[in-house]
Amino acid sequence: MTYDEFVAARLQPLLRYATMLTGDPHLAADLVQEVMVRVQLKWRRVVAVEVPDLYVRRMLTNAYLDLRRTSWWRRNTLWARPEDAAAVPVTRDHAERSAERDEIWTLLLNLPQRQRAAVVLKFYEDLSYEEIAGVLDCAVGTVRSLISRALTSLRAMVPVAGHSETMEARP
Amino acid sequence: MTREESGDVAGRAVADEIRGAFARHEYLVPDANAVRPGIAARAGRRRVRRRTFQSAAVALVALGVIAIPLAVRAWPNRPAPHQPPVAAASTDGALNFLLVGLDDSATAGTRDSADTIIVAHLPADRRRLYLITIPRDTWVDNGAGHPQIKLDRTYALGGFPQLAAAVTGLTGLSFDGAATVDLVGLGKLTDALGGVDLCVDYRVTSIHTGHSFVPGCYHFDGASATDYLRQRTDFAGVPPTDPANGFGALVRDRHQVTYLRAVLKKAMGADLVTDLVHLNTILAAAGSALVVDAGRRTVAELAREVGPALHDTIGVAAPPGDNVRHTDDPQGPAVGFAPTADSRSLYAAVKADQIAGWLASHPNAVMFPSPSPS
Repeated sequence: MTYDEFVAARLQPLLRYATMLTGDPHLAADLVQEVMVRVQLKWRRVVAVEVPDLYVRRMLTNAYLDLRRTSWWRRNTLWARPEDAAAVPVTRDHAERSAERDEIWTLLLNLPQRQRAAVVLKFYEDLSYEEIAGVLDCAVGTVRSLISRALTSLRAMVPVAGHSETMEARP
Repeated sequence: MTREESGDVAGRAVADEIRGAFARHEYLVPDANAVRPGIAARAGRRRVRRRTFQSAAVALVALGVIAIPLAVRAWPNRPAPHQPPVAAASTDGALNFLLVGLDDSATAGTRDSADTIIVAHLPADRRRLYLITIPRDTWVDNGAGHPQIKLDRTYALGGFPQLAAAVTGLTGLSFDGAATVDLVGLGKLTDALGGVDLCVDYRVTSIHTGHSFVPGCYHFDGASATDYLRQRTDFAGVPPTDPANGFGALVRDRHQVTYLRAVLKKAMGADLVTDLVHLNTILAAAGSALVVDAGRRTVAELAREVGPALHDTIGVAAPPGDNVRHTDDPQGPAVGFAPTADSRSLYAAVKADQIAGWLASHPNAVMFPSPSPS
Protein backbone atom coordinates (compact mmCIF):
# COMPACT_ATOMS: atom_id res chain seq x y z
CA MET A 1 0.00 0.00 0.00
CA THR A 2 1.36 3.40 -0.93
CA TYR A 3 0.78 6.57 1.04
CA ASP A 4 -1.50 7.90 -1.71
CA GLU A 5 -3.62 4.76 -1.65
CA PHE A 6 -3.91 5.06 2.10
CA VAL A 7 -4.99 8.69 1.85
CA ALA A 8 -7.54 7.90 -0.86
CA ALA A 9 -9.09 5.14 1.24
CA ARG A 10 -8.74 6.45 4.79
CA LEU A 11 -8.66 10.24 4.85
CA GLN A 12 -12.43 10.73 4.83
CA PRO A 13 -13.07 8.12 7.58
CA LEU A 14 -10.31 9.71 9.66
CA LEU A 15 -11.89 13.12 9.23
CA ARG A 16 -15.24 11.69 10.31
CA TYR A 17 -13.67 10.13 13.38
CA ALA A 18 -11.83 13.33 14.26
CA THR A 19 -14.99 15.40 13.86
CA MET A 20 -16.89 13.11 16.19
CA LEU A 21 -14.04 13.28 18.68
CA THR A 22 -13.74 17.04 18.72
CA GLY A 23 -17.18 18.20 17.59
CA ASP A 24 -15.38 20.95 15.69
CA PRO A 25 -14.70 20.60 11.94
CA HIS A 26 -11.79 23.04 11.98
CA LEU A 27 -10.07 21.38 14.87
CA ALA A 28 -10.78 17.97 13.31
CA ALA A 29 -9.28 18.98 9.97
CA ASP A 30 -6.31 20.41 11.82
CA LEU A 31 -5.73 17.27 13.88
CA VAL A 32 -6.04 15.04 10.83
CA GLN A 33 -3.66 17.20 8.84
CA GLU A 34 -1.16 17.17 11.65
CA VAL A 35 -1.36 13.40 11.99
CA MET A 36 -1.27 12.78 8.24
CA VAL A 37 1.86 14.89 7.95
CA ARG A 38 3.52 12.62 10.49
CA VAL A 39 2.15 9.58 8.67
CA GLN A 40 3.58 10.83 5.39
CA LEU A 41 7.00 11.59 6.84
CA LYS A 42 7.17 8.22 8.62
CA TRP A 43 5.31 6.23 6.03
CA ARG A 44 7.72 3.29 6.03
CA ARG A 45 7.24 2.82 9.75
CA VAL A 46 3.46 3.13 9.41
CA VAL A 47 3.08 0.48 6.68
CA ALA A 48 5.35 -1.84 8.60
CA VAL A 49 2.74 -2.39 11.34
CA GLU A 50 0.11 -5.09 11.10
CA VAL A 51 -2.91 -2.85 10.68
CA PRO A 52 -1.81 0.59 9.50
CA ASP A 53 -5.34 1.93 9.81
CA LEU A 54 -5.58 1.15 13.52
CA TYR A 55 -2.09 2.54 14.03
CA VAL A 56 -3.04 5.84 12.39
CA ARG A 57 -6.28 5.97 14.33
CA ARG A 58 -4.21 5.54 17.46
CA MET A 59 -1.98 8.44 16.38
CA LEU A 60 -5.04 10.57 15.78
CA THR A 61 -6.57 9.58 19.12
CA ASN A 62 -3.35 10.43 20.92
CA ALA A 63 -3.20 13.77 19.14
CA TYR A 64 -6.75 14.44 20.34
CA LEU A 65 -5.98 13.33 23.88
CA ASP A 66 -2.87 15.52 23.82
CA LEU A 67 -4.85 18.64 22.96
CA ARG A 68 -5.39 19.67 26.56
CA ARG A 69 -1.96 18.54 27.62
CA THR A 70 0.02 20.44 25.06
CA SER A 71 1.50 23.80 25.81
CA TRP A 72 -0.13 27.08 25.00
CA TRP A 73 2.36 27.61 22.17
CA ARG A 74 1.75 24.32 20.42
CA ARG A 75 -2.01 24.63 20.83
CA ASN A 76 -1.83 28.01 19.24
CA THR A 77 0.27 26.94 16.29
CA LEU A 78 -1.90 23.89 15.88
CA TRP A 79 -5.17 25.77 15.93
CA ALA A 80 -4.36 29.15 14.53
CA ARG A 81 -3.45 28.35 10.95
CA PRO A 82 -5.95 30.52 9.12
CA GLU A 83 -4.91 29.37 5.65
CA ASP A 84 -5.52 25.76 6.57
CA ALA A 85 -8.76 26.43 8.33
CA ALA A 86 -10.03 28.40 5.37
CA ALA A 87 -9.54 25.34 3.20
CA VAL A 88 -12.40 23.60 5.00
CA PRO A 89 -15.75 24.85 3.71
CA VAL A 90 -18.43 24.62 6.33
CA THR A 91 -21.97 25.55 5.56
CA ARG A 92 -24.28 26.37 8.39
CA ASP A 93 -27.91 27.11 8.10
CA HIS A 94 -30.58 27.56 10.67
CA ALA A 95 -31.49 23.88 10.86
CA GLU A 96 -27.94 22.87 11.51
CA ARG A 97 -27.56 25.46 14.17
CA SER A 98 -30.57 24.07 15.96
CA ALA A 99 -29.20 20.56 15.57
CA GLU A 100 -26.05 21.76 17.25
CA ARG A 101 -28.08 22.63 20.28
CA ASP A 102 -28.80 18.90 20.48
CA GLU A 103 -28.67 18.02 24.16
CA ILE A 104 -27.01 14.65 23.95
CA TRP A 105 -24.39 16.04 21.56
CA THR A 106 -23.58 18.69 24.11
CA LEU A 107 -23.32 16.03 26.80
CA LEU A 108 -21.03 13.97 24.60
CA LEU A 109 -18.82 17.02 24.05
CA ASN A 110 -18.55 17.51 27.76
CA LEU A 111 -17.41 13.97 28.52
CA PRO A 112 -13.81 13.53 29.65
CA GLN A 113 -11.63 13.04 26.57
CA ARG A 114 -10.78 9.37 27.04
CA GLN A 115 -14.40 8.48 27.72
CA ARG A 116 -15.47 10.39 24.65
CA ALA A 117 -12.82 8.66 22.52
CA ALA A 118 -14.03 5.27 23.77
CA VAL A 119 -17.66 6.21 23.06
CA VAL A 120 -16.89 7.41 19.53
CA LEU A 121 -14.90 4.26 18.78
CA LYS A 122 -17.67 2.06 20.18
CA PHE A 123 -20.83 3.70 18.86
CA TYR A 124 -19.63 5.58 15.79
CA GLU A 125 -16.76 3.47 14.52
CA ASP A 126 -18.41 0.25 15.76
CA LEU A 127 -15.14 -1.21 16.95
CA SER A 128 -14.99 -4.15 19.34
CA TYR A 129 -13.75 -3.67 22.91
CA GLU A 130 -10.49 -5.37 21.91
CA GLU A 131 -9.93 -3.00 19.00
CA ILE A 132 -10.75 0.00 21.15
CA ALA A 133 -8.25 -1.24 23.74
CA GLY A 134 -5.70 -1.36 20.93
CA VAL A 135 -6.42 2.20 19.81
CA LEU A 136 -6.46 3.63 23.33
CA ASP A 137 -3.50 1.47 24.31
CA CYS A 138 -5.13 0.14 27.47
CA ALA A 139 -6.71 -3.06 28.82
CA VAL A 140 -10.10 -4.25 27.57
CA GLY A 141 -11.43 -3.89 31.11
CA THR A 142 -10.45 -0.25 31.07
CA VAL A 143 -12.40 0.25 27.84
CA ARG A 144 -15.50 -1.34 29.40
CA SER A 145 -15.15 0.89 32.42
CA LEU A 146 -14.67 4.03 30.30
CA ILE A 147 -17.78 3.30 28.24
CA SER A 148 -19.82 2.29 31.26
CA ARG A 149 -18.98 5.52 33.04
CA ALA A 150 -19.81 7.53 29.95
CA LEU A 151 -23.17 5.77 29.58
CA THR A 152 -23.96 6.37 33.25
CA SER A 153 -23.42 10.10 32.79
CA LEU A 154 -25.53 10.18 29.66
CA ARG A 155 -28.29 7.82 30.89
CA ALA A 156 -29.41 10.30 33.46
CA MET A 157 -30.33 12.66 30.65
CA VAL A 158 -32.05 10.26 28.24
CA PRO A 159 -35.74 9.49 28.81
CA VAL A 160 -35.82 5.72 28.40
CA ALA A 161 -39.59 5.45 27.93
CA GLY A 162 -39.74 7.62 24.85
CA HIS A 163 -37.38 5.32 23.01
CA SER A 164 -38.89 1.87 23.66
CA GLU A 165 -39.83 1.39 20.00
CA THR A 166 -36.26 2.00 18.97
CA MET A 167 -35.20 -0.59 21.48
CA GLU A 168 -37.55 -3.20 20.06
CA ALA A 169 -36.54 -2.48 16.53
CA ARG A 170 -33.04 -3.60 17.28
CA PRO A 171 -32.09 -7.21 17.86
CA MET B 1 -38.55 -7.23 33.80
CA THR B 2 -35.43 -7.62 35.91
CA ARG B 3 -33.28 -4.74 36.91
CA GLU B 4 -30.54 -6.01 34.68
CA GLU B 5 -32.83 -6.14 31.69
CA SER B 6 -34.09 -2.70 32.46
CA GLY B 7 -30.43 -1.56 32.67
CA ASP B 8 -29.75 -3.21 29.34
CA VAL B 9 -32.74 -1.55 27.78
CA ALA B 10 -31.69 1.80 29.11
CA GLY B 11 -28.15 1.12 27.88
CA ARG B 12 -29.37 0.32 24.39
CA ALA B 13 -31.55 3.38 24.37
CA VAL B 14 -28.63 5.55 25.32
CA ALA B 15 -26.47 3.83 22.73
CA ASP B 16 -29.04 4.61 20.07
CA GLU B 17 -29.27 8.19 21.24
CA ILE B 18 -25.50 8.44 20.90
CA ARG B 19 -25.51 6.89 17.45
CA GLY B 20 -28.25 9.29 16.45
CA ALA B 21 -26.33 12.28 17.75
CA PHE B 22 -23.24 11.23 15.82
CA ALA B 23 -25.28 10.65 12.65
CA ARG B 24 -26.96 14.04 12.95
CA HIS B 25 -23.57 15.71 13.07
CA GLU B 26 -21.95 14.03 10.10
CA TYR B 27 -22.63 17.22 8.18
CA LEU B 28 -19.82 18.78 10.19
CA VAL B 29 -17.20 16.40 8.72
CA PRO B 30 -14.86 18.32 6.42
CA ASP B 31 -14.38 17.06 2.88
CA ALA B 32 -11.20 15.08 2.39
CA ASN B 33 -10.44 16.87 -0.87
CA ALA B 34 -10.41 20.18 0.97
CA VAL B 35 -8.01 18.85 3.60
CA ARG B 36 -5.51 17.11 1.32
CA PRO B 37 -3.69 20.21 0.02
CA GLY B 38 -3.14 21.35 3.58
CA ILE B 39 -1.44 18.06 4.41
CA ALA B 40 0.87 18.33 1.42
CA ALA B 41 1.71 21.94 2.26
CA ARG B 42 2.45 21.16 5.91
CA ALA B 43 4.50 18.09 5.02
CA GLY B 44 6.54 20.23 2.63
CA ARG B 45 7.13 22.83 5.32
CA ARG B 46 8.08 20.12 7.79
CA ARG B 47 10.53 18.56 5.36
CA VAL B 48 12.19 21.91 4.77
CA ARG B 49 12.33 22.55 8.49
CA ARG B 50 13.76 19.09 9.10
CA ARG B 51 16.34 19.58 6.37
CA THR B 52 17.19 23.03 7.66
CA PHE B 53 17.55 21.65 11.15
CA GLN B 54 19.67 18.77 9.96
CA SER B 55 21.95 20.93 7.87
CA ALA B 56 22.17 23.45 10.67
CA ALA B 57 23.18 20.66 13.01
CA VAL B 58 25.75 19.39 10.53
CA ALA B 59 27.09 22.92 10.12
CA LEU B 60 27.35 23.33 13.88
CA VAL B 61 29.22 20.07 14.25
CA ALA B 62 31.53 20.98 11.38
CA LEU B 63 32.09 24.41 12.87
CA GLY B 64 32.96 22.81 16.18
CA VAL B 65 35.37 20.38 14.56
CA ILE B 66 37.12 23.23 12.77
CA ALA B 67 36.84 25.99 15.34
CA ILE B 68 37.85 24.15 18.48
CA PRO B 69 41.35 23.17 17.31
CA LEU B 70 41.78 26.65 15.84
CA ALA B 71 40.65 28.29 19.07
CA VAL B 72 42.95 26.09 21.09
CA ARG B 73 45.84 27.03 18.84
CA ALA B 74 44.95 30.71 18.88
CA TRP B 75 44.81 30.69 22.68
CA PRO B 76 47.44 33.20 23.77
CA ASN B 77 49.04 31.08 26.48
CA ARG B 78 49.21 27.90 24.50
CA PRO B 79 52.20 25.73 25.30
CA ALA B 80 53.18 25.66 21.61
CA PRO B 81 55.31 25.75 19.52
CA HIS B 82 56.78 22.49 20.71
CA GLN B 83 53.61 20.43 20.62
CA PRO B 84 54.27 17.03 19.18
CA PRO B 85 53.08 17.04 15.60
CA VAL B 86 49.62 15.50 15.70
CA ALA B 87 49.70 12.26 13.73
CA ALA B 88 50.01 13.67 10.26
CA ALA B 89 48.54 11.79 7.34
CA SER B 90 51.71 10.00 6.37
CA THR B 91 55.12 11.03 7.52
CA ASP B 92 57.18 8.47 5.74
CA GLY B 93 58.60 8.85 2.28
CA ALA B 94 59.42 11.95 0.28
CA LEU B 95 56.64 14.32 -0.72
CA ASN B 96 56.32 16.12 -4.03
CA PHE B 97 54.02 19.02 -4.77
CA LEU B 98 53.32 20.66 -8.10
CA LEU B 99 53.17 24.45 -7.93
CA VAL B 100 51.95 26.26 -11.02
CA GLY B 101 51.91 29.95 -11.81
CA LEU B 102 49.34 30.97 -14.40
CA ASP B 103 49.44 34.02 -16.63
CA ASP B 104 45.90 35.24 -17.11
CA SER B 105 47.01 37.80 -19.66
CA ALA B 106 46.36 35.23 -22.38
CA THR B 107 44.01 36.23 -25.16
CA ALA B 108 40.43 36.41 -24.02
CA GLY B 109 38.61 33.13 -24.51
CA THR B 110 41.72 31.05 -24.24
CA ARG B 111 42.93 29.38 -21.10
CA ASP B 112 45.81 30.79 -19.14
CA SER B 113 49.22 29.42 -19.94
CA ALA B 114 51.22 27.79 -17.19
CA ASP B 115 54.32 29.96 -17.25
CA THR B 116 55.83 28.73 -14.02
CA ILE B 117 56.15 25.09 -13.12
CA ILE B 118 57.82 24.30 -9.82
CA VAL B 119 58.16 20.97 -8.11
CA ALA B 120 58.42 21.35 -4.36
CA HIS B 121 60.28 18.32 -3.05
CA LEU B 122 60.36 17.42 0.62
CA PRO B 123 62.72 14.50 1.26
CA ALA B 124 61.83 11.76 3.70
CA ASP B 125 64.10 13.30 6.36
CA ARG B 126 62.07 16.54 6.10
CA ARG B 127 65.20 18.61 6.76
CA ARG B 128 65.21 20.69 3.59
CA LEU B 129 62.72 21.91 1.05
CA TYR B 130 63.82 21.81 -2.59
CA LEU B 131 62.10 24.06 -5.10
CA ILE B 132 62.86 22.75 -8.57
CA THR B 133 61.92 24.86 -11.57
CA ILE B 134 61.05 22.99 -14.73
CA PRO B 135 61.49 25.03 -17.94
CA ARG B 136 58.11 25.77 -19.44
CA ASP B 137 59.60 25.34 -22.92
CA THR B 138 60.34 21.67 -22.37
CA TRP B 139 58.98 19.43 -25.10
CA VAL B 140 56.57 16.84 -23.76
CA ASP B 141 54.54 14.07 -25.31
CA ASN B 142 51.05 14.98 -26.36
CA GLY B 143 49.66 11.50 -26.64
CA ALA B 144 50.55 8.81 -29.13
CA GLY B 145 50.62 9.94 -32.73
CA HIS B 146 50.73 13.64 -31.86
CA PRO B 147 53.71 15.92 -32.25
CA GLN B 148 55.31 17.02 -29.03
CA ILE B 149 54.12 20.25 -27.45
CA LYS B 150 55.67 22.58 -24.95
CA LEU B 151 54.92 22.01 -21.31
CA ASP B 152 53.25 25.37 -20.79
CA ARG B 153 50.74 24.71 -23.53
CA THR B 154 49.42 21.53 -21.93
CA TYR B 155 47.55 23.72 -19.46
CA ALA B 156 45.87 25.68 -22.22
CA LEU B 157 44.87 22.42 -23.91
CA GLY B 158 43.67 20.31 -21.03
CA GLY B 159 43.83 22.39 -17.89
CA PHE B 160 45.58 21.32 -14.73
CA PRO B 161 45.02 17.56 -15.22
CA GLN B 162 46.83 17.54 -18.53
CA LEU B 163 49.65 19.68 -17.18
CA ALA B 164 50.08 17.43 -14.15
CA ALA B 165 50.03 14.34 -16.37
CA ALA B 166 52.67 15.91 -18.62
CA VAL B 167 54.91 16.75 -15.65
CA THR B 168 54.48 13.22 -14.34
CA GLY B 169 55.33 11.86 -17.79
CA LEU B 170 58.43 14.03 -17.94
CA THR B 171 59.73 13.45 -14.42
CA GLY B 172 58.19 10.16 -13.34
CA LEU B 173 57.02 11.85 -10.14
CA SER B 174 53.53 11.49 -8.72
CA PHE B 175 52.29 14.40 -6.67
CA ASP B 176 50.97 14.53 -3.13
CA GLY B 177 49.37 17.91 -3.61
CA ALA B 178 49.27 20.91 -5.87
CA ALA B 179 48.61 24.62 -5.97
CA THR B 180 47.90 27.00 -8.79
CA VAL B 181 47.97 30.76 -8.54
CA ASP B 182 47.43 33.44 -11.16
CA LEU B 183 48.81 36.95 -11.21
CA VAL B 184 45.84 38.40 -9.36
CA GLY B 185 46.16 35.80 -6.63
CA LEU B 186 49.87 36.37 -6.47
CA GLY B 187 49.36 40.08 -5.89
CA LYS B 188 46.70 39.56 -3.25
CA LEU B 189 48.79 36.94 -1.49
CA THR B 190 51.75 39.35 -1.45
CA ASP B 191 49.64 42.16 -0.04
CA ALA B 192 48.07 39.88 2.56
CA LEU B 193 51.57 39.07 3.75
CA GLY B 194 52.34 42.76 3.96
CA GLY B 195 54.71 42.74 0.99
CA VAL B 196 57.76 40.64 0.26
CA ASP B 197 61.47 41.46 0.15
CA LEU B 198 63.13 40.67 -3.19
CA CYS B 199 66.47 41.41 -4.79
CA VAL B 200 66.62 42.51 -8.43
CA ASP B 201 69.54 40.92 -10.25
CA TYR B 202 69.30 42.41 -13.76
CA ARG B 203 68.09 45.82 -14.71
CA VAL B 204 64.81 45.44 -16.55
CA THR B 205 62.09 47.75 -17.78
CA SER B 206 58.62 46.27 -17.57
CA ILE B 207 57.04 45.75 -20.96
CA HIS B 208 53.69 45.84 -19.15
CA THR B 209 53.93 48.99 -17.03
CA GLY B 210 57.14 50.68 -18.18
CA HIS B 211 58.47 50.59 -14.65
CA SER B 212 62.24 50.19 -14.39
CA PHE B 213 63.61 47.70 -11.91
CA VAL B 214 67.17 48.53 -10.90
CA PRO B 215 69.44 45.92 -9.29
CA GLY B 216 69.26 45.99 -5.52
CA CYS B 217 67.01 44.67 -2.79
CA TYR B 218 63.56 46.17 -2.28
CA HIS B 219 60.29 45.70 -0.52
CA PHE B 220 57.71 44.70 -3.13
CA ASP B 221 53.96 45.10 -2.76
CA GLY B 222 51.55 42.90 -4.70
CA ALA B 223 51.39 45.06 -7.82
CA SER B 224 55.12 45.62 -8.20
CA ALA B 225 55.93 41.99 -7.40
CA THR B 226 53.62 40.65 -10.09
CA ASP B 227 54.94 43.21 -12.57
CA TYR B 228 58.52 42.21 -11.88
CA LEU B 229 57.83 38.48 -11.93
CA ARG B 230 56.19 38.64 -15.35
CA GLN B 231 59.27 40.04 -17.09
CA ARG B 232 60.96 37.55 -19.39
CA THR B 233 62.90 39.61 -21.87
CA ASP B 234 65.07 42.69 -22.00
CA PHE B 235 67.15 41.89 -18.92
CA ALA B 236 70.25 44.03 -19.16
CA GLY B 237 73.22 41.83 -19.90
CA VAL B 238 71.15 38.80 -20.87
CA PRO B 239 70.94 38.29 -24.62
CA PRO B 240 67.19 37.98 -25.23
CA THR B 241 67.66 35.36 -27.88
CA ASP B 242 70.21 33.32 -26.01
CA PRO B 243 68.83 29.79 -25.96
CA ALA B 244 71.09 28.97 -23.06
CA ASN B 245 68.96 31.29 -20.97
CA GLY B 246 65.78 29.75 -22.27
CA PHE B 247 65.05 32.94 -24.14
CA GLY B 248 64.82 34.68 -20.82
CA ALA B 249 62.47 32.12 -19.35
CA LEU B 250 65.15 30.63 -17.15
CA VAL B 251 65.90 34.00 -15.63
CA ARG B 252 62.24 34.49 -14.94
CA ASP B 253 62.02 31.01 -13.44
CA ARG B 254 64.77 31.97 -11.06
CA HIS B 255 63.00 35.21 -10.16
CA GLN B 256 59.83 33.36 -9.44
CA VAL B 257 61.31 30.60 -7.37
CA THR B 258 63.26 33.24 -5.44
CA TYR B 259 59.99 35.03 -4.86
CA LEU B 260 58.41 31.79 -3.70
CA ARG B 261 61.18 31.38 -1.19
CA ALA B 262 60.66 34.96 -0.03
CA VAL B 263 56.95 34.27 0.44
CA LEU B 264 57.69 31.14 2.43
CA LYS B 265 60.24 33.00 4.54
CA LYS B 266 57.72 35.72 5.20
CA ALA B 267 55.15 33.12 6.09
CA MET B 268 57.54 31.62 8.59
CA GLY B 269 58.27 35.03 10.01
CA ALA B 270 54.54 35.60 10.40
CA ASP B 271 54.30 32.29 12.27
CA LEU B 272 51.79 31.07 9.71
CA VAL B 273 52.95 27.53 10.18
CA THR B 274 51.68 27.42 13.74
CA ASP B 275 49.04 30.15 13.54
CA LEU B 276 46.37 28.48 11.46
CA VAL B 277 43.91 31.30 11.84
CA HIS B 278 46.39 33.67 10.24
CA LEU B 279 47.28 31.09 7.61
CA ASN B 280 43.66 30.69 6.62
CA THR B 281 43.28 34.47 6.45
CA ILE B 282 46.23 34.72 4.10
CA LEU B 283 45.01 31.89 1.90
CA ALA B 284 41.51 33.34 1.82
CA ALA B 285 42.90 36.73 0.79
CA ALA B 286 44.09 35.30 -2.49
CA GLY B 287 40.56 34.04 -3.04
CA SER B 288 39.77 31.83 -6.00
CA ALA B 289 42.98 32.95 -7.70
CA LEU B 290 44.88 30.59 -5.42
CA VAL B 291 43.86 26.95 -5.56
CA VAL B 292 45.50 24.68 -3.04
CA ASP B 293 45.04 20.94 -3.14
CA ALA B 294 46.83 19.50 -0.16
CA GLY B 295 45.98 16.00 -1.29
CA ARG B 296 45.20 13.65 1.57
CA ARG B 297 46.36 16.21 4.10
CA THR B 298 44.66 19.31 5.34
CA VAL B 299 46.41 22.59 4.66
CA ALA B 300 47.14 22.69 8.39
CA GLU B 301 48.80 19.29 8.39
CA LEU B 302 50.76 20.30 5.34
CA ALA B 303 51.95 23.48 7.01
CA ARG B 304 53.06 21.48 10.06
CA GLU B 305 54.89 18.97 7.92
CA VAL B 306 56.62 21.41 5.58
CA GLY B 307 57.16 24.15 8.14
CA PRO B 308 60.40 22.97 9.76
CA ALA B 309 62.07 22.46 6.36
CA LEU B 310 61.37 26.08 5.32
CA HIS B 311 64.45 27.15 7.27
CA ASP B 312 66.55 25.43 4.67
CA THR B 313 65.09 26.02 1.25
CA ILE B 314 67.17 25.19 -1.78
CA GLY B 315 66.35 26.43 -5.27
CA VAL B 316 67.18 24.07 -8.08
CA ALA B 317 67.00 24.82 -11.79
CA ALA B 318 66.33 21.67 -13.73
CA PRO B 319 68.83 21.43 -16.58
CA PRO B 320 66.93 22.70 -19.60
CA GLY B 321 68.31 20.08 -21.95
CA ASP B 322 69.10 20.35 -25.62
CA ASN B 323 67.60 22.95 -27.85
CA VAL B 324 65.42 21.15 -30.31
CA ARG B 325 63.45 22.76 -33.04
CA HIS B 326 60.15 21.13 -33.80
CA THR B 327 58.69 22.22 -37.09
CA ASP B 328 55.52 20.20 -36.76
CA ASP B 329 54.38 22.10 -33.69
CA PRO B 330 50.80 23.26 -34.31
CA GLN B 331 51.84 26.74 -33.25
CA GLY B 332 54.48 26.81 -35.94
CA PRO B 333 58.18 26.00 -35.88
CA ALA B 334 59.58 26.59 -32.44
CA VAL B 335 62.65 25.88 -30.40
CA GLY B 336 62.25 24.14 -27.09
CA PHE B 337 64.15 21.91 -24.72
CA ALA B 338 64.43 18.19 -25.10
CA PRO B 339 65.23 16.32 -21.90
CA THR B 340 68.80 15.10 -21.68
CA ALA B 341 70.62 12.61 -19.55
CA ASP B 342 71.32 15.44 -17.10
CA SER B 343 67.70 16.44 -16.58
CA ARG B 344 66.59 12.82 -16.51
CA SER B 345 69.15 12.04 -13.82
CA LEU B 346 67.78 14.91 -11.69
CA TYR B 347 64.21 13.61 -11.94
CA ALA B 348 65.42 10.08 -11.18
CA ALA B 349 67.31 11.36 -8.14
CA VAL B 350 64.24 13.23 -6.88
CA LYS B 351 62.15 10.13 -7.30
CA ALA B 352 64.71 8.04 -5.46
CA ASP B 353 64.93 10.67 -2.67
CA GLN B 354 68.62 11.23 -3.44
CA ILE B 355 68.59 14.84 -4.61
CA ALA B 356 71.37 15.89 -2.23
CA GLY B 357 73.78 13.52 -3.93
CA TRP B 358 72.74 14.74 -7.38
CA LEU B 359 73.26 18.38 -6.38
CA ALA B 360 76.75 17.58 -5.08
CA SER B 361 77.71 16.56 -8.60
CA HIS B 362 75.73 19.37 -10.30
CA PRO B 363 76.53 22.49 -8.24
CA ASN B 364 75.57 24.76 -11.14
CA ALA B 365 71.94 23.75 -10.81
CA VAL B 366 71.71 25.35 -7.36
CA MET B 367 70.09 28.80 -7.66
CA PHE B 368 70.16 29.49 -3.94
CA PRO B 369 71.45 29.63 -1.35
CA SER B 370 74.60 31.02 -2.94
CA PRO B 371 77.56 28.76 -2.40
CA SER B 372 79.43 29.98 0.63
CA PRO B 373 82.71 31.62 -0.36
CA SER B 374 85.60 29.30 0.33
